[in-house]
Amino acid sequence: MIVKPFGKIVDVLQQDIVPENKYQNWMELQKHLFERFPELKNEHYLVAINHKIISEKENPDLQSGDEIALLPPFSGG
Amino acid sequence: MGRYQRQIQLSDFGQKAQNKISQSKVLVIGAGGLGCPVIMSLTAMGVGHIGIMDGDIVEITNLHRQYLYTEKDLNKLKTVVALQRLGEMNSEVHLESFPFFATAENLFSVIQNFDIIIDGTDQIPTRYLINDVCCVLKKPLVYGSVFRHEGQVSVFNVVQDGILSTNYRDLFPFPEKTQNTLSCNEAGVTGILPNLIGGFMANEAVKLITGVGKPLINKVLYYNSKTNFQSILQVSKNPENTYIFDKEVLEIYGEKIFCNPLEVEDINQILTHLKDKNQHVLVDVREENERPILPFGIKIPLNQLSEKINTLEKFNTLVFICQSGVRSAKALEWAQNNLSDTNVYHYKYGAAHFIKYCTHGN
Repeated sequence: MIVKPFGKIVDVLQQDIVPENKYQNWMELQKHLFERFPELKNEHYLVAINHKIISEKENPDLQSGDEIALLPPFSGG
Repeated sequence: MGRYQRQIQLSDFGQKAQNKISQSKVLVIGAGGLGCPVIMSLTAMGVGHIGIMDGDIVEITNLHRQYLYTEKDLNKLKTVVALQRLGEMNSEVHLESFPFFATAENLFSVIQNFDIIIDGTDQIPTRYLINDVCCVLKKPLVYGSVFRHEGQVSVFNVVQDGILSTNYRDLFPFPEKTQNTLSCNEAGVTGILPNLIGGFMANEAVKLITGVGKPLINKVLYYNSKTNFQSILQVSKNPENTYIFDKEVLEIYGEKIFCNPLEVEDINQILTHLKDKNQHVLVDVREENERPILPFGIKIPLNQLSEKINTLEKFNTLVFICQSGVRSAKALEWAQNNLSDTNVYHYKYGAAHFIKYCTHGN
């Protein structure tokens, strides 16, 4: 399992994160990320699991090979 | 040999696609880092009618990425310079300038004359506004944005098999949460990245026009120029996106909707706050005899708030509402001073609007 931060979220996570423990679902993993990176709570981002964007209330189960992308809005032009 | 011969000779493109291009009308909003490569590409390819909307002038800090402009153009309106230069590039294209910034008041009349809209602006509120107006008018929207070395591209609002595809609010349903997003002026950007992303955007527009290729409908392309990593993410209709697209509301309130979430709330934010009836409440601060009567909530006239403070303290979220938004703003101010532990909001549009657009039961 790997968590890939994009945009401003890279400032918080610094790099791709490979969680050591197994997390049953996205909410559990997000809770772990909030504990490890408290600043993440202040950020706004969409979540894509295996390239599929989930809505804020979805909480899909995670598998060992899953790739989770955290993509914030960009505004520059 | 005609000027478009090299693209016409592509077997899957041909004269048929070129004819579609020459008959198309494309509006590009923002003639900056993203807009410049878009309008240069579309002009060169022979799009029939290109509208360019921007109220900005050329500044020295634009020149490293906005290749349409030169040092001689400093302090001139971008639309004036763009029209002259693009006209020299291709005199067959009908170029039209809109030398002002996009607002809710002007967008409807401009957008309705075009087939495809391209958002190359650099402010989040404007992006929501363009998205919302395109949703009301059912116009396909090519979206692109950049942050430092990264970019996003998508195509919104295309009718496929009778169904409207996803839009910006399916990605980010809550404008108030996106307010801290940085523009190029604040975050910085290399000269090349917006030209790459603008190239992707022009390419999406050409795919929409010609039908050749697969546009990024229900998809977001992410690109990183430092690593060349790119990814395409699938977008679905977002159940959190319950925004009601409405011309009247947009024209009246427009981008102000996004300025201060405490002052202005959209219906869906209100309903989110009111989901738990024991914790959250709609507080009607009008006098007893005022109409329309609201379907739920409690009634406490503005001048009685202080004496009913014990009632109000029981809730952790209050949403004030009145007839036109003036008294509810005063109630908000009162609550901010007197109920420090309570989340307080007010609904700026008033009771009649609330009734009209509140289709959710409670």
